[in-house]
Amino acid sequence: MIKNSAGFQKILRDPMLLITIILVIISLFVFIVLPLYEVMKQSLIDLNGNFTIKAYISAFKSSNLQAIKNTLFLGTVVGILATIVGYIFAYAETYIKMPGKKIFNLIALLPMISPPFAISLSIIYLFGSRGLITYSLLGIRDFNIYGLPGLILVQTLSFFPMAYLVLSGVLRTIDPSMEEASQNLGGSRWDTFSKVTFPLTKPAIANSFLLVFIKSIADFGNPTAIGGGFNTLAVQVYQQAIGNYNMAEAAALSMILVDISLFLYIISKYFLEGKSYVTVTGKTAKDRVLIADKHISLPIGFFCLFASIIIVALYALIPLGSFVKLWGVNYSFTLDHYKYVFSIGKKAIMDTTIFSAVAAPITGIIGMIIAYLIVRKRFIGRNFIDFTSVVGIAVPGTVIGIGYILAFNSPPIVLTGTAAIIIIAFIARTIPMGIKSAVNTLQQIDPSIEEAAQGLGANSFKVFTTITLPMIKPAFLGGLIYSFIKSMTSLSAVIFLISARFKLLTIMVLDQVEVGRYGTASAFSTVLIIIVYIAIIVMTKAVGLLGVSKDNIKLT
Amino acid sequence: MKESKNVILRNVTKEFKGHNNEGIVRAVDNISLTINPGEFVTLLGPSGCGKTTTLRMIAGFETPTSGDIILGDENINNLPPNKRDIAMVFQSYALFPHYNVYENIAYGLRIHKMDPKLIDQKVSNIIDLVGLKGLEKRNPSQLSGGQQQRVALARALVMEPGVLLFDEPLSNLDAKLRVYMRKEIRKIQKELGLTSIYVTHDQAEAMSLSDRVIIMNKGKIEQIGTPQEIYQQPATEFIADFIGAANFVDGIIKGIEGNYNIVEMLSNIVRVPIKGENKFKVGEKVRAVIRPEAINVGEEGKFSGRITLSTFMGSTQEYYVDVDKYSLFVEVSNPSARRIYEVGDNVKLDIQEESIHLIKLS
Repeated sequence: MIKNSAGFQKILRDPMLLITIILVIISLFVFIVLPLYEVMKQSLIDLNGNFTIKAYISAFKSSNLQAIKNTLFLGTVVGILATIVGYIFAYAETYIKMPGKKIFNLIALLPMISPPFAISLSIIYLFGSRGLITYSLLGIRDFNIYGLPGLILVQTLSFFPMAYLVLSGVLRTIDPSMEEASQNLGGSRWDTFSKVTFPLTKPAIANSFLLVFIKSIADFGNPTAIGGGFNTLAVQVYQQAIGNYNMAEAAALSMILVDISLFLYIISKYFLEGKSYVTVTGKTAKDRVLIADKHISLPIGFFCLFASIIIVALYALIPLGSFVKLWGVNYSFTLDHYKYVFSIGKKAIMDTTIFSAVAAPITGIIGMIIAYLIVRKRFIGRNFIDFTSVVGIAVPGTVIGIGYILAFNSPPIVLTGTAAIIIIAFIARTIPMGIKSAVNTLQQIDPSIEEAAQGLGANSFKVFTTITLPMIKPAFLGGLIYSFIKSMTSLSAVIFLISARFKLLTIMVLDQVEVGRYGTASAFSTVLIIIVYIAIIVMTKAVGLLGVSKDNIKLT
Repeated sequence: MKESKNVILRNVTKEFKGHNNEGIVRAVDNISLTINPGEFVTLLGPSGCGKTTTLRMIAGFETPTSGDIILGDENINNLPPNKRDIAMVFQSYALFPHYNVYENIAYGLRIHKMDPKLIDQKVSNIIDLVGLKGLEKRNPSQLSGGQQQRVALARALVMEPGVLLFDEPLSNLDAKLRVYMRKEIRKIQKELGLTSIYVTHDQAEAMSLSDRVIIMNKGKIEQIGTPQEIYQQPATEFIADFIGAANFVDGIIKGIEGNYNIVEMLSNIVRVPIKGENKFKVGEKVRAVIRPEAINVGEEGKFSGRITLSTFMGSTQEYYVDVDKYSLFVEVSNPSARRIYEVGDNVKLDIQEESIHLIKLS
């Protein structure tokens, strides 16, 4: 308390800072805490507003129980597979001498910047009932990719980049001299890996598993597109809420989903991140001597090559499919899908792009401010900001979607059907990553640099604008780009929030997939990916004008 | 140049929450001190003694849990760091990586919206003073450690602060450069007459720079004095041990004759001149501080001993000599001109009795 009260006095002397803190706390409360509270309330009351746990009882009836089991099973399998693939890519990047590493890295990151079900679409092209491989090449008539196997494949390919990022971050910071010490003491390469490197990365492996698990169970697009009869919780929530208008049961299922997710997230954040053996100093003592031994580099190299070819092929299928009349039946060239996209779909393209373009800079700036407050300031409510601003990572989009309908449908705040609710949802969904990367960057910057500025007469606002912001520009750009991409490609939250007035690209794609018009879905997806690429280039240039070196930019 | 200010700390205490929010750690424990205008004062102590916390409270980065900090004639307890007429040189230099040397030094003046012409003039003067001419356009990353250190110093000096603070500014430099920079700092400080408070754990730095040294331990002030006072009349065993090397020998006051304490120690009687505040009664047990350079090893002397270790150090010969139940550390200067004794030799020790300092047994 002593430290807090002293810190509080300091804040009081700085009115601008005080106002900022209050605004941030109010926003987080209204747009994160309140919707979640509304979901919880909805799950615990009946139509007359009396307390009941009926919704939970029916949430555990057979069809829902199967969805819960399915979700957990899928999360576990995908978590393991994605972590293995991610580990191999990360290890190859940091330890192995091989050509084309940069390309492998880019390819590994491709699934991160694509619509959530792009890979599903490609897999359907290849292995669907009229699939290129199963139907046209092999002539199998009753092959069914829909369901668990398809989902595992698609989710593993979609989420391994995340595992790769977590693991390569840790592998890169391992001091090579520890491994050299192991070899110096007589350890073979395998001893060194199994007794030094691997144990050092164990917390990161667990962390990667949990994060992929959270992603997998929150995934809405892929289970809808390729899940077939394999029902998951996220889909079940949507069906109960929108299909059956059973808000109470949807809310109860949401609570179960969010509880699982939060539980794992808290384990990850508070038990695993602190456990890391690797001291992050921002630099390694010296460069690692890369492994050139063919017995090691060849198998790993070929694995990366194979995986990369699959990913590239899957992505190539999307534009290909958009120029084909009817996949599996008539492969002749057509522009019909694009005619549709640019006539009926035009509004969706415009709406999505404008909303994302509005959300991204707001997200970027607020994210930097919140990160600055979390890392550099001490005040009452800091822990609240720290937790709620980043907890969004662990809250599945469907739950946020339900929460927003419940919270902003009636006074005091009515936002349903407006563009604002969609933009706010974009911000709430994408800000945690921006904050996280800015927090990481800030923590590596010596706080005395900012103290020096303050000591020379700069107030909090001046310190932030002249010193902090220029130093964390790469994180700012990363947050900006991430926010734009994820807004363009978001589906699970906004599917609850769209109205007749506004259309979104991802939802158009999903509609097309559901009625089997894969060509149009591909055309929409292609347009989406092109917009995202253009936006990345534009934003990089724009922020570059502010003086950021391109080398510092990382997609997170 | 503006006038230098005095600094007064009155019953200042700083408490931190302990690890995992358990318990409270008192980093600074009720300290009071007065620093006069133009004075160079060093806060010296082992790590964790509270010296840096004290400095950061004066700068305003930490708020005292209780007590007052006065700058000039103003209580600055509630003044944020950017409103205090204080500049600080940081241990890590804390240079702004996105500004060049000139911009780093001009930063504070620009924040204060000074006339650009005047800024230019002031910055140029300081750049000359600290010897950075020609490096104005460089970025901090393109400078050597010593040059970065000068930029940090210049950035603080250009503000012409009422008080200049130094937080172990030389600890990242190599030994030779450290000695050189400390002479430079002292020279510039005297030239400008700046009130300076300097934190360090290096006793040589403290001795060579300061008008007065403040020894801190466990959040409290152990002693304040000139470098000579601190060295020759350490108030406690902790200080005697921390500043330079010292032998500690127990004794009993056998009598007081005029200005001398008659002390029995090492099975002998010595006459120790009475200095400073410490008064002893006859029969009281005391501890004698004997500096290694106050002992000579040779053929003559009151005390008999036997060499257990003999090391040639160039400018001195170091011995460990068993006397009574003690093993005394002895430094004999200019060994090249003297006889060197080997391990096992029986020798006589001559202790300069006027250099012996007595402290109370706590």
